[in-house]
Formats: sequence, structure tokens, C-alpha cells
Amino acid sequence: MLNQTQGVMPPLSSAAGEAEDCRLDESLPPDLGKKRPLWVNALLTTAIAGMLAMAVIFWTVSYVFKQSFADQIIHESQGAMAVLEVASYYATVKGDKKILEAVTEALLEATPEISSIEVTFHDKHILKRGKGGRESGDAGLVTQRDLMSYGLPVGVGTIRWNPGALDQLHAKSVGELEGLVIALMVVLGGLITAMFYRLAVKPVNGIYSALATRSRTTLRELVNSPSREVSKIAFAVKRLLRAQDALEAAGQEDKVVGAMLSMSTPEQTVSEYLEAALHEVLEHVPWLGGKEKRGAIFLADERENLTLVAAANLGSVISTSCSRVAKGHCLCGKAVDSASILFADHVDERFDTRLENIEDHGQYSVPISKNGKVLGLLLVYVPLGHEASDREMSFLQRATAALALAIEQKHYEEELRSTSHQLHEANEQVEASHRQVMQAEKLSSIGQLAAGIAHEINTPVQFVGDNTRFLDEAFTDLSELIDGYEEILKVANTKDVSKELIDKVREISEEIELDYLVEEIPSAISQSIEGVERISTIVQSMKEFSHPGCVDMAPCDINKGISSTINVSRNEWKYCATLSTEFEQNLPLVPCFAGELNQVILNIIVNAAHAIGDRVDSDKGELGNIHITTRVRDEHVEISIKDTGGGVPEAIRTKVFDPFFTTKEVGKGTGQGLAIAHSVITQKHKGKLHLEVEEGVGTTFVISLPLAQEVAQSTHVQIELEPETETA
Amino acid sequence: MPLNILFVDDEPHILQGLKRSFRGQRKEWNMSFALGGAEALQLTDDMHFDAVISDMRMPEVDGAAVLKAVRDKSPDTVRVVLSGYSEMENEIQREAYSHRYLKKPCSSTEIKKALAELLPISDH
Repeated sequence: MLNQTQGVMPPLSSAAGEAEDCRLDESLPPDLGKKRPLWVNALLTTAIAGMLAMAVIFWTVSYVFKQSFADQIIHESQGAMAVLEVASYYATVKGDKKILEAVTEALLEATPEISSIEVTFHDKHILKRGKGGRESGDAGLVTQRDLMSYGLPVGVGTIRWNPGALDQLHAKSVGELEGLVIALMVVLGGLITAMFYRLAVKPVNGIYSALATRSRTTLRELVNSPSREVSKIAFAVKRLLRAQDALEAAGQEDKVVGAMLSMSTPEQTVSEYLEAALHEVLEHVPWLGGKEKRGAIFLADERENLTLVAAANLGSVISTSCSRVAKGHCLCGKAVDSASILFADHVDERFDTRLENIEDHGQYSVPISKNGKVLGLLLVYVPLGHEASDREMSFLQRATAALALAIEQKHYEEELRSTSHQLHEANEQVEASHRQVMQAEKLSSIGQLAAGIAHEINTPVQFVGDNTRFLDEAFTDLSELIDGYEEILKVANTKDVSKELIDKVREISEEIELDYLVEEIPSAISQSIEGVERISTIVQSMKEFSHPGCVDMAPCDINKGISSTINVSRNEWKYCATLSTEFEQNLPLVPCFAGELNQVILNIIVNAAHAIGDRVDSDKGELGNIHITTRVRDEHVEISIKDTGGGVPEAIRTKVFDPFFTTKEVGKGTGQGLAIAHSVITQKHKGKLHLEVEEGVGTTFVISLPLAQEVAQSTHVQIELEPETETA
Repeated sequence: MPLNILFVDDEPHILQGLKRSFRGQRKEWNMSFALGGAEALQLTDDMHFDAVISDMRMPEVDGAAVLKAVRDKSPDTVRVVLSGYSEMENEIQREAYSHRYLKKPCSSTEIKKALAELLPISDH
């Protein structure tokens, strides 16, 4: 049933169509003012019909009358002829023509329609009389007869009638009738118009005003109209209006549902959204009567027990007692249990919890469910005795569908938020561990280097110490000799230098191996100075290599960095390879993280040394070579490190930059070195790192670093922006 | 009779420094200096040494090889390691090839002391 209703329900977009219809209704035809009212039309129609009727009547009447008038004239003519016959008798038989003349005069006098009378006797005597001006020969109607005397014709009588005689007669007899007919027609016309007005015009106007004002009273009267058509039209209009009302309400409800669907914002919590949605429903749905629109929204837990989340005007008693509703308890719990809308027009036996001092009411309990799972419940109060309708049910279904969507969306949002939080945390952990790996790698390489560096330092310390001790002893020996010389000097003036003294000094000189000392002391001193320089260089290189505390990119002398790296790694390669460099002397400073770049170069050098070491061991005695060059190429600085380690086998060439990939024995390599090197070059420096292999000869690692980094570009932009900020 | 002592290192400065610092022993010691393992092997072939003091890490023939050869050739020769590496060498290797492990930097006094302790042992 509900589904059917829903099927009939117009989609959301129909609200616009409806509005358009309303506009059509409001904009009346522009030439409406020129149009005649229906009653005028009715009157005109009646008048024209009346006039036509009158014309027909008059024509018919006058035709009939004309015939009867002609008969009358003939009749009168017979009478006149009879009189003339008698008078003619006297004129012909008695020879007295005065009677004839008198009779003629009298006839003319008595009958105005006669224009002239003529009597012609056989003796050619002619008597002719006529009215003044009218006795010309153009008489319209002429009657003629033989005048008889004793069965013999004595003459011919001719009476000429006036041309308008008939009309005059007609007018005379019809005149009164005409007035009567017109009066009758007017009355009849009026009556017809009035009837027409009452039966047609008034109902039509009534329907119009009922449509315009939506007056139910007017429509009810019209439905009761005696005319079947009016009654039918009024009934149809009534249904139309009801349908329109339903449409408007549905439109309003659609708006509510639409608003409920669109009002959810990511910042809202579920309960905030539900509060807003409940307010929207109660505020804008007209049939939720009563001054205080009441309602609530519950959320269901896993066991479909309800918890009150949003409430409006429920009062503290209900809000408290209904804060949790078990499944199957009360109308709400029963609605959840049956997963269908439950309606009550008053508090009936289905209400398990009855609260004192709560006024009786009707209510809808509508489960909010999605895919058969109850997510919550919408409760709305309706006035006591409210009649439920399919349309309301349909609205409530759509409203709860919207709520279900929104609740589900909120759940997803929360899930997403928590997932993204977890992701963020995981990412931070990954970054932290990456930093740790980098640090560990750095430490391990430093640790690995430490032994070599210690050796590099300990060697000069050893010989500088030896030399110093030697110099110390040598000085003691020389002091002894100098003492001898002093003694000789003291007595030199006396020219009495004893042979014993000279022999003693010579003896000392021989004893201390003066020649050796003279030869060795400068060498010991210069070698000691060299040793100290070596120590100083390596310490300086260590400092430069590790570049501690460098958080930002800074312009660096790449050549110097490479030199330091070579120095600190010397012990790693010197037993298996020679190392040559070919540095571009005018290399510009390159923005980079010096410490990390040196780390990368060290890694490649150590790898090269290991590769060469593997080969040199087997070849016995031969040294490999590591050749490092720097040069500028297309806005980039290119560092290439070429070794004679035999090259990376084809099969693993693509894997060398993968994390944890290593060909070294367990414990010798972590497999992180080149992976980190790759990440440092490509990600941190936006540069490139690739390798070129000459199979069986060696590998060349090529690092390409951009001379201009984004940092530099953004600084440039900032400089450009400065004038703007000044003007602003 | 002076003792024959052989110093082995791949770094000439070290050998020269040792030679200078043991100048005081020139009467008791007859010192030889081998620049690298190969030269040391040649010298040990030619004559007997009472003590060999060798660096460990050297190109081509390293200290371990030299000491191993010395042990094989003349087991009575005192074998001392004088290494620049700070980490501890493998214990067994140390035991096998050397009687004493000395770390650079090491003063001549320490070396002398070590040899003084070791030489009577090898005398028997």
C-alpha cells in the first residue's frame, strides 16, 4: 500500500513543475479585459435569438394578415360594387345620376383606402371620382366588376385602391400585437438570461473563485448544485484541490527530506546531525500539529536496543524514562522489533511505560533501518485522534531513509577519521623508523668507518709518538755533546784544549751517532709534522663528512665533501684500490643536505671497494681503481663514481635500489645502503641516481643533482611579492 | 749477542719511527725492518729472528699470513701484533698467530716491556 503511494508520489523535481503551474494560474491572459463577461454573452445571444424570433413572427403574422386583408378588400369591394350597382340602376333606368354621385362620394368618404372610383356605362357616359392628388393612374390595387340591372350589364365599375392601403390596414391591425410581442420577448429574454446566469454563469464563477481561494464551502455548495455538470465539475475541482494540497505537502516533505540529506557536515557528530535533522522535521512538516512539536531520535546498538540521542520538547520526565528503550518495549521498541512503522492515535495498550501527568497524544514510531539492519528510530508526536495517512507514512519512510543514510555516512566518516588517524600514526611511525634506519645506517657506516679511521689516526699517532720520543732522546744525547762542546769553548780562548777533552767529545759524538742524528732529526721532525697534518686532515674530514645538525638544504662545495668522504673511507679502499679524482674546478655550490649526500657517496665508494676487493682477492696483488669525477651538465651537477669491480650482473641490476636487497653475507650488509642512497638523491634532493654497467669491467654510479632547488624558487617568489605587500 | 728483531709494516713512516724510537736498543737489538708482508717473508726465509713485530692489515700479504709463516718456519720466534685497529681481533686467530697483541699507538717502552716478558718464554 505504502509502496503504491510512494509510486504515485512525485519525485523531488516535480515541486518545480508544480510551481510553474501556479505561475500559469496567476498570469491571466493579457487580453482578458477585452473579453466579454459570460452574462453579456448570454444576453447578446438571447437578444439576437429574440430578434430573429420576432422577425419570423412578424413576417408570418404580416403574411397571414396580408392574405386576410386582401380578402377584406375584396369583400369591401363587393359591398361597394353592390352599392354602385344600385346607384347605377337609378342612373340608367331612372336617369337620376345624383344618387350615383352621392354614393361614390360617400364611399370615398367612408373608405380612405380607396383612391378613386370609376363607373363606365355602355352609353359611354363615364363617372369618375377620386381623392385629391391620389387619382392618378398608378393605383396599386384595382377591383373591377360589371354592374347589372335586371340581369343585364349596364356598365363597368372600377375601384382603385391606395398602394399603401394594405400596409395601412396591416399597421392598424398589427400595431397592438407588435408591442405585446416585444414586451413578451424582453420578459422572456430576461428570464432566459437570469436562468442562464443562475445555472451557468454563477457556478462557473463559483468554481473559479473556489479554485482561486480554495474555498471548501463554495465547493461544497457547488457539489450540491442542481445541475449535474456543475456538480460533477465541482467534485472534480474538489479532488483536484485535494490532490494539489497533497502535492504541496509532499513538496514540503520532499524539501524536508532533501534538507535532511544535505545538512550533514563532516564536522558534525552523529548526535549533532540528528538534533538538526529532528528540528528540521518538526519545524517544517505541517501535519505534525500542536503548538509544541515534539519528537525524538534514538540510535540502536548491536542488540537493537535504543538510546535517546536527540529530543525536542519531550520534557525531562520522558527524556529520562525513555533515555534507553529495550527492543520490543513500548511502541518504539515494538516498532524496532517488527521493523515497521507503528502508529497510535492515543496512548493505548501497546505503551508499556505509562507516565503520570503526560497528556494523551498520538505518535508515529518509525524505525531507521538500512539493508534490514535497524540503526535507530524516529519518534514524532501527533495530536490526539490524528488520522494516519499513507502519505504521512510515505514521508516518514523517506525521512528515516535519509536519516539512515546520514547515520551510515557519519559512521563511515568516523571510521575514516579513525582510520586516517591510525594511518597518520602509522605514517609517523614509518617516518620515525625511517629516520631511525637512516640514523642507524649512518651510525653503522660511521662505526664501520671508525675502525678504519682509528687506524688512519693511530698510524700517524704511532710514528709521531715514536719520532717525538726519538727527538727527546736525541736531544738528551745532543745535550751531552753540546756540554762537551761548551767545555771546549770555555778553554778554546786559552788555546789550551786538551787532547783528552777533544777525544771525549769525539767519543760522545760517536757514541750518540751524531751523523745519524743530524740526518734523522729533520726527517723525524718533518714526518711528525706530516703525521700531525694527517691526523688533522682526517679529523677535519670526519667533521665535514658527518655534517651534523644540518636540517635544511644549504649550498655546499661538492668537491670538498667528496674529498672528505674519500679521506674518511680511505682505509676501506686503500688495500684493494687506488682512488683517483677528476674534479671540475669551478663547480658552483650545490644546494644539498651535505651530511646525507656524503653518506651516499661513501656508500657507493664502500660498495665499489667491496666489489673490487672480491676480485682483487682472487687475482692476488693487483689493485683496482675507483675514479670519481664531478662536472656541470644542464643545470645539474653530475657526480660519477666508476669502479673496476666487474659490474653488477644483469639479473639484479633493477633490484640494487630495493630496500633489504643485498648480495653480501648475512651481517655484512643491511641492504639499506643503496635504497637509502636512492631515496636521499631522488626524494630529498629531487635528483637522479642511476648506474651504468660495463659487464665484466665495472660499474659507474651517476648522481645528478639540480643546481636550483624549489627552496630557491620559493625565495624568488617571495621577493617578487614584496612590492605588493608594500603597496597593500 | 744482540737479539734479532724484525718489524713489519706497510707504512714506511711507522718503520722509521720505530727505528728511531728503539735507537736506545741499538746495542742489544739487531733490528730489521720489512716494508710489507712480502718483504717480511723474504727476510724470515733468509735469517732467524728472535721476535717479529708485525702490523696486521697490509695489502697483498697481511700480518696474519706473515705471523703464520713465521710460526711454521721458526716456532720459537716471539710473534707480536702491533695493529692500528682498535677492535679486538679474533681470539683464536690471535692465539694462533701471536703471543701478544699490541694496539697502535704503542710506546717503545710498552713494546720493550712486552718483548722482555715474552723473550725468556721462547728461550727454552
